[in-house]
Amino acid sequence: MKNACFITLIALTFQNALALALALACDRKMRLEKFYRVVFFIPPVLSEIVVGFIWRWILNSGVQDGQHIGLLNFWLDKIGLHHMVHNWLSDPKTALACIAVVHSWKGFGWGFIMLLAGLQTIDKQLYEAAKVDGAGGWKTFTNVTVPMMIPVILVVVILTILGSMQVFVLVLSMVGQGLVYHTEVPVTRILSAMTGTNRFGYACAMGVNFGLILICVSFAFKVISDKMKQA
Amino acid sequence: MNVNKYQVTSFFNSTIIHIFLMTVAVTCLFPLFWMLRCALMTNQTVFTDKSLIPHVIQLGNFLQAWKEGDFGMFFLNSVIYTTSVVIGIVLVSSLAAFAFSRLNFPGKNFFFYMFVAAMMIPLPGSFVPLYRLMTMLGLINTRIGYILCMINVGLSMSILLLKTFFDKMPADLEDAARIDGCGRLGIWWHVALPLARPAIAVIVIFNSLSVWNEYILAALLLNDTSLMPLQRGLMVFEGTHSVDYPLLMAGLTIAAVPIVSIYLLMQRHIIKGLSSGAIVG
Repeated sequence: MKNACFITLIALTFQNALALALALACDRKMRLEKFYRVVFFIPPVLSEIVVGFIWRWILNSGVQDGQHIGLLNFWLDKIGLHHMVHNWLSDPKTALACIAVVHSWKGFGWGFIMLLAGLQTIDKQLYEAAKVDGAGGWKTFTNVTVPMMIPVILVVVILTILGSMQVFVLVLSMVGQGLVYHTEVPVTRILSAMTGTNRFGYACAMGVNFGLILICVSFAFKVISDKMKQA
Repeated sequence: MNVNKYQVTSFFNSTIIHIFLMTVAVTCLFPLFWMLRCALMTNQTVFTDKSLIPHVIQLGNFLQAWKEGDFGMFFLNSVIYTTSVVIGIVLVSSLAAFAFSRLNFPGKNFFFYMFVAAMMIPLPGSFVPLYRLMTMLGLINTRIGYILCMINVGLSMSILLLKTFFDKMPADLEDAARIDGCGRLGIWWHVALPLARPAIAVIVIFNSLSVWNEYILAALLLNDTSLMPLQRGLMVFEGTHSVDYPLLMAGLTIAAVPIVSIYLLMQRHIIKGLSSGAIVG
């Protein structure tokens, strides 16, 4: 549970900040806009297994013939950062962070597309009015863009939370079958209780608890968004 | 030269933005490129050769993965599952949404809210009941069991989407069809379905994506290697050939290529569907 919360937190902050920044950058007339839009959504259409295996290969920490197998370690070594070379996925300290970053890599496209769609529905006259009133770039952003975007932001946030809490396949494909404690997330717990030790009742109870927590979270967000719409 | 200060700053700004966007775009594409590159190498060179374009290009991995890694079989399974689940979802959800939107029957609202509530329940919460149910029905480890489960997973969302669409459909059209002698099913087939084509396109695309990429249920319900879809097959393959990275990368490419190409072909619909979803939500 704590691990899933950690991944969710990283995803919420890092992934959505990135998505928002990208959406803001793309929300204007410019060359290549379509290209960016297409490219940013490629990671989300890939399956978690494929993404997990590719990243596992890049983060590989093995050494053969005095050379690092994994691309990341190889490059770190090449540019002289020997002390950064690391057992990325087998060290308890970095494994979870790696999974969280890859999860964000896979997920930011959704947020990007939705936020961009939201940005494009904002009336351009509002920006002009703000400019006439003498608002600078940052003031326009906090006083016009953010209030107009709150419904979309809420949707993105809730989808991120629900998606990240249920992260599982990525963990499985990146860390492997021998699930170790420091990367355990709720879903792996449930499955291992079920298939590993055949404790069906226990697994079922965990599943119900987990489901209830997520339903509570979504209801809380529903209430918040209703309140905000009234205000 | 009449370059003023404004032009300079705007050029400078757009360059910074382009650099930022380009960096992210490259990080999006690079892992895929790396996968493709490693799939083209031999098992000897893949560990030592780190240049971007491999010195020796070898296409045999794809053939070997397709044959020895059973990717042909997994691929076929995935195609079977995806098509049948998508057809099932479109049929059931359009009929159900049509009924919810156009017919009056006792308990209509109750059933509709049941469907919507089902959308709230996360899948992990229902692992055990689902597994028990499938065992009792004798559907565990069968194609049809997996297909039924997957149809069920995608159903709520599709019903909700189609119901809002049918609600907006003018009743006059229905009356006209009835005067022309259509029964209820006739109206559904001849009037409602063709009109709902945009919504159905969204449903087809998203469910194909999710079924093709599905792993958890396949792991839960299917034990037989000959029944497994591609994602599950990749996991099995990794278990047996864990050191043969080029072959694994070739397998990943086989799994990724169809979905990426479908995405590139349909990207306009996908982005439109997503955007409308965001605004409605």
